[in-house]
Amino acid sequence: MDYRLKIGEEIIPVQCLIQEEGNFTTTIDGQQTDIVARRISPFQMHLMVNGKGINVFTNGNPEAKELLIKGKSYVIEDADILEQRAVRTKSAGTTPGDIVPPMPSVVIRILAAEGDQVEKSQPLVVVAAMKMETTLSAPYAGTVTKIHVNEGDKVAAKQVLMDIAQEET
Amino acid sequence: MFQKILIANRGEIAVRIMRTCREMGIATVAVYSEVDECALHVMSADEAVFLGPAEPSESYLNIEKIIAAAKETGAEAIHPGYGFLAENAEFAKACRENEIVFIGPPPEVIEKLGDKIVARSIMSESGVPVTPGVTVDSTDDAAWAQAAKKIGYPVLVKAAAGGGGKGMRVVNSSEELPESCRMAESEARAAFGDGTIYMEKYLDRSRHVEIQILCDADGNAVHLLERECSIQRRHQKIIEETPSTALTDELRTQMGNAAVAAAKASGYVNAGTVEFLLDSEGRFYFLEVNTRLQVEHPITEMITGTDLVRHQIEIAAGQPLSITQADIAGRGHAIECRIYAEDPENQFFPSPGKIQFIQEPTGPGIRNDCGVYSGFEVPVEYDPILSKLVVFAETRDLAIRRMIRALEDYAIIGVKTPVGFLKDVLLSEPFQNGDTFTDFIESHFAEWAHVLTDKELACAAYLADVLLPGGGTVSSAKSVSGPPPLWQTLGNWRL
Repeated sequence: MDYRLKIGEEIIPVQCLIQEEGNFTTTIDGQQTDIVARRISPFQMHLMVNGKGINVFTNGNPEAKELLIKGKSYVIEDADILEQRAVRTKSAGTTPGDIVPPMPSVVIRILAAEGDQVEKSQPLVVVAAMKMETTLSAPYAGTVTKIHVNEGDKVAAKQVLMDIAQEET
Repeated sequence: MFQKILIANRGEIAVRIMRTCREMGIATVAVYSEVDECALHVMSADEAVFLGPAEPSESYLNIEKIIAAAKETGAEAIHPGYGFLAENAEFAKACRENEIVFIGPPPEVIEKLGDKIVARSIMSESGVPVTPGVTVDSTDDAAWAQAAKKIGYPVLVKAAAGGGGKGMRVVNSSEELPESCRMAESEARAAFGDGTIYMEKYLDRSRHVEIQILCDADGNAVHLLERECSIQRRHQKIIEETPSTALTDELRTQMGNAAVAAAKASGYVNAGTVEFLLDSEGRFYFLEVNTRLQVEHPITEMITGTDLVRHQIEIAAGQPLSITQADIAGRGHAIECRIYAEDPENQFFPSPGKIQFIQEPTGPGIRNDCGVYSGFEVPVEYDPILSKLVVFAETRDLAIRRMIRALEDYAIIGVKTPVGFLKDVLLSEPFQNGDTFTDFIESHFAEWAHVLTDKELACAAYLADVLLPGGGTVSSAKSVSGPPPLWQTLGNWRL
């Protein structure tokens, strides 16, 4: 079976040959590795990699799978699945004109009003999480068309707080 | 001795305090907010009282509710832990007025020392050296600019009512000053309810070395040696160790004596910490007194073989100090790493969420003061500390190796943690050489990302997880016991 695994920006082609349950080989860049894997729990596996024992912890997530090996975190995705998904679904992500918090937070201060003309990098909203304040700034110059929240609101990560129409230059 | 103590805190420190209470045969009362209903500290207590919504002002910072909880359960004393109300003189007073023993210093001492400006003058008067600094009684930018000019840049703007690194900013030039003062004031007000700030000379190439003190109500005071806390990020400590590589026996004695003098000068009772800055010439300057048990107290306990919480409770119960300075000796080396739910690859932004799985390191000389468990939802409303990983070994070198090994064995899935970052700090040459100054992180680890040396291994592990049945996430409800059906092993195909 061929896989294309994405780590960060890199895509690594891997050929996988299953011998029997829990026993398989991988070939990466011409290098073959023998693996005997045993599942300990949904989040833990013990691997014998070319005869050497390694403990691996994983979030088991089929999308962005996180693997913890000796304190190091690797996030791996299946590039083929990613590409299929991109083709199938419309990009429902955030557009660059939105103001979004990086993590679940509380809106502390709103520094602009609807209709305001703002400059690029002008501070617009201050949110707080875990006693740390973060200022979200305008990604470009434009006009604030809509503010979706009030001071004191709890917001989720990536939730759109404000819409800004980019200024025609 | 008390029959019952209420612990006015949460997370790992509440759990840690309760352990000592249990060992002393004292019943424990936990308090909790909405998001902490299933928290470990609640499960570790004999009784638990619900306080209210998650916001600290409605729960862990709510003096009225906490006093009511103590009265309702008949708790004779309250241990405030660290943070929250630990250094709140109003709270200490409220305890006294309600005939509840506050396990800590008297409210008057907390007030005096809690005001950093007053504390500095007490110290100066007692001959304890202090860093050059000033306070400006106005919100006038020009007045601040003038004061800063007099001290000389770089300056450090700090919260007078503060601690824990909140409301602190280094200012390198007059252009940065107004904005920095504004932000420091705002953070200080949010964290401590008081926006008063003051300014000190910022000492470059300095070390943050603090001394643990214990004082009873009869005026006896001892120090329990130092802690080196220079590895900080944005003025928040992340790694602490003892002994400090910079201290000679002589300097240790001098600083210890200065700390005891500071304690006596302020009428201190119970446990506290006197913080000093050590400059590159081996001169030390008083920074502040923390009138509480500190986060990093375990490393002192490891090298001195003491239980500081036990001493706190005994002192609060009116007993004289059971140890003298001659009884105190340090042996070996201890290091602590603070494990927060933070993303070290994304500017250490908090990473709240559900802990799907946690496996704590263990073995000789390992102590993990942990406040979470598999399945616990880490709330956004509080400091995201998960645990304190502490190691103890015969020498500094062995302690470093032990900590690295422990970090490798520490698996936390579901939230991001700085485990990989901490491991790299401990492996680094400056750390191994003991060159730990307060600019350590800025100088050596300003931008950090995991160096992925074992990508091939990670790929193999990925495939193992895909191929082995029984993989766990909420979405994969299918739990296949035999080999995976052919449909799954064929992989995806395109039309």
